[in-house]
Amino acid sequence: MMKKKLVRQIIMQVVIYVVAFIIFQVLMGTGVINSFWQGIFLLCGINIILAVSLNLATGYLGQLTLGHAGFMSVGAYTSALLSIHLGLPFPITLIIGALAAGVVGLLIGIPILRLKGDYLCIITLAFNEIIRVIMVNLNITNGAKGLIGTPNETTFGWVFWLMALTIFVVYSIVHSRHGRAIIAIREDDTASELSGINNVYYKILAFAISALFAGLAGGLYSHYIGVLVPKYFDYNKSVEILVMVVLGGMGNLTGSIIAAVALTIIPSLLMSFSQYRMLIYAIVLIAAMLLKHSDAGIALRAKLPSFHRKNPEVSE
Amino acid sequence: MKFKNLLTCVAVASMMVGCSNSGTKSSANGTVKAPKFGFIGPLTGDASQYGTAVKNALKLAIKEYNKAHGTKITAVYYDDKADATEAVNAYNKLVDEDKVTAILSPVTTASCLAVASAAKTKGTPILTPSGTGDKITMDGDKAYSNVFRICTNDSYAGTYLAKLCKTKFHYKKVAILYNKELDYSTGLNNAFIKEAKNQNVKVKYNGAYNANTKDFSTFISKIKASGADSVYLPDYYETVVTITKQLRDAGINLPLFGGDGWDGVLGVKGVNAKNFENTYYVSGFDKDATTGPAKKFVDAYTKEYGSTPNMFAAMEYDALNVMMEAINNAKSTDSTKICNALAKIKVTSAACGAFTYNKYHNPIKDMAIVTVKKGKYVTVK
Repeated sequence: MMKKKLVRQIIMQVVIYVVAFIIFQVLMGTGVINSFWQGIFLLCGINIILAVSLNLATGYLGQLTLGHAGFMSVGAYTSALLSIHLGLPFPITLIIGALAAGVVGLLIGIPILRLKGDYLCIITLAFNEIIRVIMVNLNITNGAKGLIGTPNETTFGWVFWLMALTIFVVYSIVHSRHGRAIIAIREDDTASELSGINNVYYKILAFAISALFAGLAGGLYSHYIGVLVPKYFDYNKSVEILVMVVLGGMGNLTGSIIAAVALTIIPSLLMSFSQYRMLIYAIVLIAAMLLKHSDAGIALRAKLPSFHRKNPEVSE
Repeated sequence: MKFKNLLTCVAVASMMVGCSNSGTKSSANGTVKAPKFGFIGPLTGDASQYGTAVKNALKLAIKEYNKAHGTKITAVYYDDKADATEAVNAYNKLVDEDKVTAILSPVTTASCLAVASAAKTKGTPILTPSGTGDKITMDGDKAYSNVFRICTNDSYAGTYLAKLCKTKFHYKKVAILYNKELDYSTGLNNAFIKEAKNQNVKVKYNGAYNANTKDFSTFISKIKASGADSVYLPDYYETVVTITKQLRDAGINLPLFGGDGWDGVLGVKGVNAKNFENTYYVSGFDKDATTGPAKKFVDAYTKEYGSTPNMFAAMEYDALNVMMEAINNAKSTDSTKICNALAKIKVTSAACGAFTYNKYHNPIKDMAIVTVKKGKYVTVK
């Protein structure tokens, strides 16, 4: 019975994605969505992957990390270098890039996940800087001059389906036995350990998966923009992703997706305000945070389609 | 009811398609009298001082050109925070929604690289005032047909300096201190080292510091120990002032030299001009010129904005005039025709010096050697 329901749910999701994808493709093909908006939607997709994957580590596992841009840069540089020097096909560079980021996440996760709260936050921030400095100093990444020559292979289709995959995987993990263990750790570290959950294992698992998808987003980004500079992956980028997660609500996938889309589109729309742009952006952020907890905001959110309707106890 | 809604949607959508098509047609018929240009540069963030200067210069250049030639040139200005991603968004917007004729930017190298790669299929003419990175105009081994620049590229400047060491300055042992987080600085450093070998100039010490370094004492003690007879500082003027002060305070009175990024050293607040005795830099723009186009530009800019322009501003001023000359030569706003005209252009009078393009679309120009004497810039003959 349970299984039947799940299969039906998955089919429904796939149908929704396919329909959405066809609509986008038709609109792009006919030129209703011009290349400016195509670029924006593509970045929206990449940011959704980043926000949803960070939500796994920050929202569900409850570990505040500020190193997501670091993992993204590992994926971005790995896949770009593989494309440039070995000429590997795009999908393979994406997979290896994502795996590289996942492995780095695993290796870093083992020592640092012993820390909690602000200490963890600071050490992930430091790690982000270390990766950036490595990218500046390595010869193969061409340092500050920027790595160029990555073929522009990322299309909207790639981003769209990998975004769907990311959402699906994170959603599945959160709603599985493993996900319940991860959420238990967030709720109470000691209690979950006493109930027989292997805290270390689950923490590192969630952290590594989160890093893996950040690497995937990095690979997509590098093959979209064609030039990689270490400066792009500094802590500002990490904060930007974290803002998406916080604004959308910790442990809320729909929220992360909406916030990622909104925070990608708003700065682009404000482009012509030039120097006032960041000011307006900040005001929008403050307003959004205030509205989020107002009665009107809560009522509005209740109307949105949710990934959590079946088990509301999962969300914040 | 639902079907009706759907029908309306389709109708509206088809209308939008129609509109966007007709838009393209009308812009293709645009006359040379009123081209529209795009600007992409950092108006916020760390590099905003460069972007703002360039934007001001473009505004001034358009105003003057319109007044002198009775044209109706306009421009659209977008902020990219010196971020390549935002620059590509801005480029797409300029081309798709604003339908610009050409783009007189981006300002920073990373943005230029990304925009050049994004503009490959559409072939929009791009003329950057200040993107110095060697690879900006290069698509693999060939040059992009549509990307040009006003400033000299890193290799040209670095090589030029290395040759000067041999022919003019007679330095034999050079110590270098460069910023490894700055593309301009690493580019100039690499080109210099490469050419120094050919010129038989020895690099005694090659130190790299991070952006935002404030204390250079460890580097300075190594320079002292290296036995160099001169110090090469390829960086922008703010950092050059900091390093120079610390070098002089440490008792190193060796000659110092650098590239066009030095332009403006004496304008930094609290600078001690005495520190800059026995220093040299090469520049295409002489802001203290007493005659010619550079003088005209400096006066106009100072009058308009109440401050002296920097090199970036001068280069953008040239960019507009060079682009208009190319458009007039091409007698069209067609991208390909403009690019062909640009490639063949011979600029005889410009604020940053006359030049022609080589096959890689890099300007070949004479650079003036500038030194500081008694607190004033002096051109070395």
